[in-house]
Amino acid sequence: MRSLGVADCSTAPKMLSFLNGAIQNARQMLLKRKRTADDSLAPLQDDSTAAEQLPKRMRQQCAPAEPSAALAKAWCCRLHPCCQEGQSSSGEDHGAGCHLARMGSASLELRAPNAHSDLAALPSDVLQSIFQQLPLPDRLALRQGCRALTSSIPYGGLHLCFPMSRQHQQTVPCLADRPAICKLTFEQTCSGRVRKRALKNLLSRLGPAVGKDRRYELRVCVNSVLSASDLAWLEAALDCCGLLQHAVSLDLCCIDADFSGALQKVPVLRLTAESLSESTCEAIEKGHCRNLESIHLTHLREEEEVQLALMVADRGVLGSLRRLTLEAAGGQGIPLGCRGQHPDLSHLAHLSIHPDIALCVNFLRYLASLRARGLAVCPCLQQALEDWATQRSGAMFVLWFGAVEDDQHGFLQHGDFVIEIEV
Amino acid sequence: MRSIILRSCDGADHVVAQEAACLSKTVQSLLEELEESTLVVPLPNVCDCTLRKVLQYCTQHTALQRRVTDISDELRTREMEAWDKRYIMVSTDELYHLVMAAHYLNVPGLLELCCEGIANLIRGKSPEHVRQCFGLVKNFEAPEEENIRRTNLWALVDEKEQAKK
Repeated sequence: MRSLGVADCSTAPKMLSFLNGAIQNARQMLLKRKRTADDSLAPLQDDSTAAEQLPKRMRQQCAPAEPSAALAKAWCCRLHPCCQEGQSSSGEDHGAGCHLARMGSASLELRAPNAHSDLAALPSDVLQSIFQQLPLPDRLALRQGCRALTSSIPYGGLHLCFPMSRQHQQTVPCLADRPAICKLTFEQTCSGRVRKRALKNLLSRLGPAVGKDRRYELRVCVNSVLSASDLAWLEAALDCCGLLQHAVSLDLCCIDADFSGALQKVPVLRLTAESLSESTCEAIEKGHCRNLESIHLTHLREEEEVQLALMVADRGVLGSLRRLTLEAAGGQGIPLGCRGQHPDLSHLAHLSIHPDIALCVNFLRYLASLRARGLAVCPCLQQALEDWATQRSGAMFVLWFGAVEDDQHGFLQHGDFVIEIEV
Repeated sequence: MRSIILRSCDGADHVVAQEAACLSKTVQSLLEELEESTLVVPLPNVCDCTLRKVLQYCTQHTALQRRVTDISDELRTREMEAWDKRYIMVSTDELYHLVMAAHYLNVPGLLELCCEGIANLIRGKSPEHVRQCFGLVKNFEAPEEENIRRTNLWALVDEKEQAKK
């Protein structure tokens, strides 16, 4: 963060101790004044219950931590107009108008000149969010800012939007020359038919991904409804350029995508529920996807979709599967009643189920037995299994969060919990 | 309407409607954890000026959201966007403090707005300009920098052209 004048002033320890004393005195005095001022604050009087209801003990607890100098230094900015007023003279002159004055502005003159904001010190999720809003050249420029930014901003993703302007197409790198690229995304940016020629040009610019061990995550996001022939063309185009062979995972965001051919080549599949087409299921059922090790289904909305996913994951259908993730669309609960039957998931090593999918007792009991045999589960499912285990004594089973009302499966709504009564 | 007091790290109190304060998920969860009668929420990571600015956002957005009857959704969105645009026109340093506060207080809308503001400051700038704007210190060794520059060359059209020349 910032470097401060006080800390830098190594030649004047006596001056520092004197100033510290002065700061303490000023702070005490100003706190007294502030308390008096607080008591006469109009908004507090308006809401008279606020001040009255607050116990004295609580007031003391809530008082700013003493002395909090480091915190104040780190956070006090001198760019705000009211703070700028306090820069050149003592806080007493400014009274309660400036927050620096309130905390003892005797230290103001000793503050370092205004330091710039340290971009690299931003939390990583904030940095990522900034990063995602920037086009590729700007991302790279940002990475070149300083070493901390180079390490905190991941590089290696190539996000190609189509249709793409000719000028942008010229900047598309040949994959063979870019071994650092480990994520490859094709995203259709406007609705309407996919312009085949433009996409083919783009793919041909990428060239084949040379190298036996070359691996990357492939994401295809098409937002328009594609005809079966268009989808077949897209799959063939990706295959033709050697992109499918080198993909370590395929993330499909296409409506009703039939990528059964691609499934044979890619071990990890991430699909939206909409993408789980009948023909994809059929291809899986027919045993065309023997390499598939992981399925991640997102945007599940209905019980049928969850059941279809579980059916696909059954040992008899997809014995190669090791990892299954079922993610609900969110905001709505999906009751899942297995009616005494459940798929054989004994071949799975890891199972994640979104908490919005409410599981029936039979299925939970089955999962608990798999868990005992070594199945790793996501934290939400783990919690649900523990809750179920601790509360199963008695007739009532508290199962899962979610707002579900479904008489057919014996669920009753009770506050935020779904309750199943065992009969 | 119930009001609560938000106390900044430097002890300044801000009385604010609970509805507006609860745009901050941090404040909301603090209120849930604290006793029912609690009216003062200490925020040890936000200074007075920044908190004032954050609350300006929360109050404005709550007020605009409440105006459901007299204006259409589209108009309200447009009004909000225009207000946000004016609101985010602050200095780099102020923006930095605001994004840190938005992150700590967990105000998603404000955080997104600040990130967009920072991204706008970076957009179209050379690495040197980014450094100047945010006070970054170039701490690369010469070969290291050259290596990064060469790796990025394909995406930086101008530099590529310069290199050709």
